[in-house]
Amino acid sequence: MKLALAADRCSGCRACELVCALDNWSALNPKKAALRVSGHFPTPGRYTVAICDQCGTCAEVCPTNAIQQDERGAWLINGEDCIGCNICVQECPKGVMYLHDDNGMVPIKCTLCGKCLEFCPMGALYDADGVIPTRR
Amino acid sequence: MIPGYGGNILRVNLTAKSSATTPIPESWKREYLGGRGFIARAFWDEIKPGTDPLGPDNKLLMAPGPYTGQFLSSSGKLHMGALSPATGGYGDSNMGGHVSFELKQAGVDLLILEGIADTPVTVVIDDGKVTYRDASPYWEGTTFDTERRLKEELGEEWQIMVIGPAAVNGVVFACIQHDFGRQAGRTGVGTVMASKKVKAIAVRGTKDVRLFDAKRTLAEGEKMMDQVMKQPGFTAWQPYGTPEVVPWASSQGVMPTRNFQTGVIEGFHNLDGPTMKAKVTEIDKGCTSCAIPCGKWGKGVLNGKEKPQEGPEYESIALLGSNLGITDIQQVAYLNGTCDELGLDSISAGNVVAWSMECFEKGFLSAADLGREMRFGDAEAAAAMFHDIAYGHGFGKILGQGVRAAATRVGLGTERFAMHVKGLEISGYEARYAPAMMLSYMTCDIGGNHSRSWAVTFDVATGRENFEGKAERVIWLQHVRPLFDALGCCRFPWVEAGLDPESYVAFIEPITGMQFTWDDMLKVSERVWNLTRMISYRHIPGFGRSFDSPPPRWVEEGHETGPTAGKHFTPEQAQDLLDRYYKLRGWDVNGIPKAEKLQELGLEFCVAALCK
Amino acid sequence: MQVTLRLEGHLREFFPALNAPQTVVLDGPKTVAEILEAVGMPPTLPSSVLCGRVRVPLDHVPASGDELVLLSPLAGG
Repeated sequence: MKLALAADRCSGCRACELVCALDNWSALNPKKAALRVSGHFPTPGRYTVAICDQCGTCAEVCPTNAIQQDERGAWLINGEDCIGCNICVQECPKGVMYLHDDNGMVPIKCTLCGKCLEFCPMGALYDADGVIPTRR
Repeated sequence: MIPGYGGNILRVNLTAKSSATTPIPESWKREYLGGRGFIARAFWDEIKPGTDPLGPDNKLLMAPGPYTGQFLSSSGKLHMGALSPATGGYGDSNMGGHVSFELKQAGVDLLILEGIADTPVTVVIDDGKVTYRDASPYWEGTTFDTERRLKEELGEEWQIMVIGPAAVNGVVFACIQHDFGRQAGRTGVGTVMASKKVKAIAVRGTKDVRLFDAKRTLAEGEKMMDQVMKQPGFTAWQPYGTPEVVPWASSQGVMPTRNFQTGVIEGFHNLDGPTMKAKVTEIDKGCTSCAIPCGKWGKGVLNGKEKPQEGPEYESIALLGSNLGITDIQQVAYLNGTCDELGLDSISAGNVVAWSMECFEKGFLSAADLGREMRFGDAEAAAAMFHDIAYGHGFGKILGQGVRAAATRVGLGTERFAMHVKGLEISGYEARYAPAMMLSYMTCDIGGNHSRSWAVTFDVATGRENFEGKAERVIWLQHVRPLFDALGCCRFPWVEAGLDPESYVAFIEPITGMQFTWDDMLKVSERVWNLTRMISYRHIPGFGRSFDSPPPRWVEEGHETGPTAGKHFTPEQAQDLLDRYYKLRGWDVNGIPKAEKLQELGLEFCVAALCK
Repeated sequence: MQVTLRLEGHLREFFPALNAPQTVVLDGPKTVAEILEAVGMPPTLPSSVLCGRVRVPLDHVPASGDELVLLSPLAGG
């Protein structure tokens, strides 16, 4: 599964943020989601979505090797090895690593669970590998 | 504490620039659910008879509901209420977008704005902490400019509600706007916000909303989202949104045309969903967690001038299009954008301008009176008049007081075609030969609005001449539709996409732990319905049956054209509909709830007001 | 020949017989309008009629085996 974005289809509904936080954190709190929808109105009149493309930059810059890739290709943070330096948050090219007080010093990062693209009603988030079908 | 809620009442006193946070009563969650339920209860407690709608003692109330922000389609609704400067009675309005959930995440179940600030302010609510910013530099700004400015100052992730020049200049049908195109349109909630010198409310909330059973809530949410996306309405309706009903409305003779003179507009194809999609719409725009986003963002065009806007919705197409004799969707979108940036309710604005056009064409008012010729079909004249209304210029100042006040002032018999009920301009359904829909408009608690009970299909399906079952139907709809306003979510997945409304019951227990059946929920709606009736009774001298009457046009004239041409009911038949309705509701012959009904619904605290 | 009628949305309340998809047997090709009249529904009552997920006009003649989906009109906002 490969999370991909067709931003021109995004309606800004943020269902992706909701299901991400609910599934990964059991929390009704889109501020804990690992992706972010942004509106740009009145001009140009579009939405953009910051998503993790598993580029691995966070792992490269992590001083304690706390971020490792799993067999699906997802880079995951091992909280026990994280020292809270936040270099990964600053260096993330997409700006999709987030801090929240409830997670202490360990950043929130996309785990490639696929819930966002499974439920995106507009097909803005989709599986570029075609494994999970697009709703539209 | 019952989970699923923000947790608190946040009271903001603008006179003292102080705020107080108190827990929302647990009993209110059980008895009123939230949203419109909290608004009605707080209204009764907080806004006393004799209050000036534009004075410091009126309160602007806002409330999300237990379903707000949930992963279900569609959960972005905020309900607002205040004593209406337009009607003098119970006023409320419902708005989509994203601010409702943001308020909830800031810990707020009910926001109360009271008093009046000494200078214009933006109220900033940051996770429950309240501060004030000086709004003087942009007090007269348009809604879009103001929201844009605040997003740049505070951050794109902040959710902002704003008022425009119309509210600032005292137009009684000024709206509150949010997310560049969502409005709380009706009853002048924007006017009340302006009277408190509040230009904008900016909200950020980062807290978890606690759930009784997060795993089950997620499971139910996934099930519902999946179901909605399997409804035929998902692919057939969603690309077009509410304009989908235009061809149906015109062919049934219910599309208001030229100030409700008839119900059919020639050229309605130029106003339909596919035409709008082709000529106006650029992207879809959705509220929180919505699988069927009805919002359509795109540009309106009038004689080479462009205006970005969200919509136009069916109501705006009806009141700014066919009702003004305009059949060019790009022009209607331009007029919609004009109303949006000025902060005018497009329904009331379209209605009152249509009245002025009929006055001009029939010779009751001249071009000198109005500032220009006001002819049906002339979008430039309409746009210019919207500006005059918003800025209080010329005759616009009179129109800005609403169609009832304008017609009363002009007289000459123009009252006979002032299309309002209770002083609220009638919305987009020409209902004179549709008894259930006409009764819906007559008995809607805020005045001439369709949102509480939309019964047109019932009339067509069961016969327009038939009065049997009509009052029952209206009452049922008045309990089911506003239930969503109490839950804090949108009813379109049911109404537009065809989801079974009872499927919404499945969420209350995993979210809150409270047990409710469908009938239990409808009982809450019945409680709220009687409470809002008592509120208007308390505030409006002489309130009763006479305020439930239809506009004269609906009982005196038939349509010129269309499937119901020439037909209408008599005033006696309209009263007969009310008799049936009052009896079924347990109200007296004047339409006031009887003490037994109030007691049955747990509204004992309203009984004393019956003896006023 | 026969077609299947599926009624979606709140119109189902007024036509309980169509709460589940109904097969309608016809004695020959008929327009959508004629088929609706045959089951007692005013042809202008649905807001749209879909055949094969595409909107069709009331004078469309479906083929045998087609499913017609009737959409309920909605309230605008």
